[in-house]
Amino acid sequence: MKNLKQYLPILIGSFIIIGLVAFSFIYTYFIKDTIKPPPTFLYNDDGKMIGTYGYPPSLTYPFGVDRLGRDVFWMVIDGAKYTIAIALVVAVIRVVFGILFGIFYGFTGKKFEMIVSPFINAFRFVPAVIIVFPIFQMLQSGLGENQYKTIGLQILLISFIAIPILTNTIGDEVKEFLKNDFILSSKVIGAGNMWLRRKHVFPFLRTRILLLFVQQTIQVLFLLTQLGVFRLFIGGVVTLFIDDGDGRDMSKANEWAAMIGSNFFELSIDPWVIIGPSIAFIVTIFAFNLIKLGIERIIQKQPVPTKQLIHDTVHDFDSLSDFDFVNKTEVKTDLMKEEQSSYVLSK
Amino acid sequence: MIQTSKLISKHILQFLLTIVGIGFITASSFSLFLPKGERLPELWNQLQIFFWSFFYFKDLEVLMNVQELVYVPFYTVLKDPYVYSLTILFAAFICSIIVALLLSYITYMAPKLVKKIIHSLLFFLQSVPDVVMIAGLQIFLFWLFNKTGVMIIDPVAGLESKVYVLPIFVVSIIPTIQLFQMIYLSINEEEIKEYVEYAKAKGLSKSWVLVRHILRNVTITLLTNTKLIFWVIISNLFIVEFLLNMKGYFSFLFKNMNSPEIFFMSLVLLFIPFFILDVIFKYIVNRLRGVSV
Repeated sequence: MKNLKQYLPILIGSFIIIGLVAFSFIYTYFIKDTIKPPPTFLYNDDGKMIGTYGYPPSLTYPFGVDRLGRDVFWMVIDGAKYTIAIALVVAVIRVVFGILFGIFYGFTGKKFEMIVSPFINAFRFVPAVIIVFPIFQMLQSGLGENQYKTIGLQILLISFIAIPILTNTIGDEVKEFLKNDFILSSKVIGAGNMWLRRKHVFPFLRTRILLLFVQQTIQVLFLLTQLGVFRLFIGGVVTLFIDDGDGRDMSKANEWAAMIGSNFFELSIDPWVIIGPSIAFIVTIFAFNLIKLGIERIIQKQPVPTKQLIHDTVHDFDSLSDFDFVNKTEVKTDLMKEEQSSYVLSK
Repeated sequence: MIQTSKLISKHILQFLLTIVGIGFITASSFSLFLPKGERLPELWNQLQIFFWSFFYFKDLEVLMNVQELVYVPFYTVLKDPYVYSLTILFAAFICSIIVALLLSYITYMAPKLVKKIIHSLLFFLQSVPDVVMIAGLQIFLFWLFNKTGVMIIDPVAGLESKVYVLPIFVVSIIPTIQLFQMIYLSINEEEIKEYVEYAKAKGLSKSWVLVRHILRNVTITLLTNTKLIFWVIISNLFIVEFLLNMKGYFSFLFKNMNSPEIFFMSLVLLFIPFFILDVIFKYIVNRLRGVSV
């Protein structure tokens, strides 16, 4: 029972994510063809026309309908798999390279660090969106030659801009870890750097990989929303026309960030168009945050609660009467134990 | 004497290297997608331009009007938005520190139930992207305006007017949450230490111990993590300026996307105050820790 409670955040979080993705796939393969597009005009019970496209949320259309006559709810569901997939793929690339470089960065000396770390610092001062912007624009304008190549490049780009910082953080952690006493003793025995990496550093990082991965996924989702605002969408762009001939760039894949970004100026007209994907974003990030919380709890194993320290020893010796010596015969063995424990401590 | 000069030279070296790093990032982002043979020469060319632009700082010009080709000196154009954005940045920074400190004080003093509520509320707020937060706030303000006709804060900047309250508020939400979590965590770490127990045993009140003893040690954690907070605030303000149509530093940057040397110079100017603050904070942390530098 206690175990289950510990894993509860992880379970709920993964349930939400897997559920969303599964529902999204079911939609594309099974439900999509059975759904009728929303009617062009909406009539009330008397048969009077009360409105056209751009319906506010109602029971039939939980997230409303946008001005092009598309049901926002199903768009959000359709976009779930792309959005989550992009976030996961980028996070995997980031973590793999971050750990690979981080392990090596952790072993470098102080001089190397003094030269490289300010350089990495530069990445912190230039917002990621700014670095990416010119390249994304160039990719989007030169679209059509090879769509998969473009998507691949975009994904690689938003993966690599975070790697220097990630390398730095992991490297610092490794450096801190290398200060442990057992590393020193391992070195004294004659372990080389490669051995230390393989036998000590990597197992230490292995417990943290999952945590890093979830953290990065959340960060990528945040970055996606920011990119969406600047009309930088991953994947193809379609220009859709509303009746007045005003073209508007939309993402082909109904990816959430793109849905928010391309409709941002609808904010005061029909806000539900961006409320739908926003809710989806919040739910997804919340689920990942839950997973993160669960992993953190497991890694820390909860700091020893003070309750254990105040341990009532009276009940340990229920069989003895009130005025017996508890350790009377075990004085010698106790000393032995103490010696042993002090030996263990000074290891 | 030797030590101080050594320290200063170390800081200067770090400063220069970061600027080189910024130059490298900008140059490569501008030259990465050129045809194959031109990439490296263009990169080198850009870096050279960046280097010389320091010496010809007064001659840097910004294209103001594309049709009439009006050029205006760089430093006169940048001054206004730069000051404006930095005001917001630092106001947001100070706000988030004050609010986070207050919040952690309240949480520390509050009963268990309130603690739990505050924690879960912040946990939820953590999952709201800044873009969504701005959109939600704007929708809320519009809705309020439609219902009651009261405009609490002007949600979008006009042509001339400058908005302060809303951007500062929005920009400081996420850093506040992060700072609060940092502070609260380190308060909890300090709380089990012996000096706190001793102070409590002497009969000092809970809030006295927190304010006089624990907070002093928490400051160290706070100041060492300011870099992270600055980073969050910068990237938030970038989005906020775009969405609220503010005429700040970042929209200036955004307009001059296609002139690398202006772009680079502006980034360097942004970096300078943060670098100085960073050095000062490091100094304070060392003083607090009692490490003689």
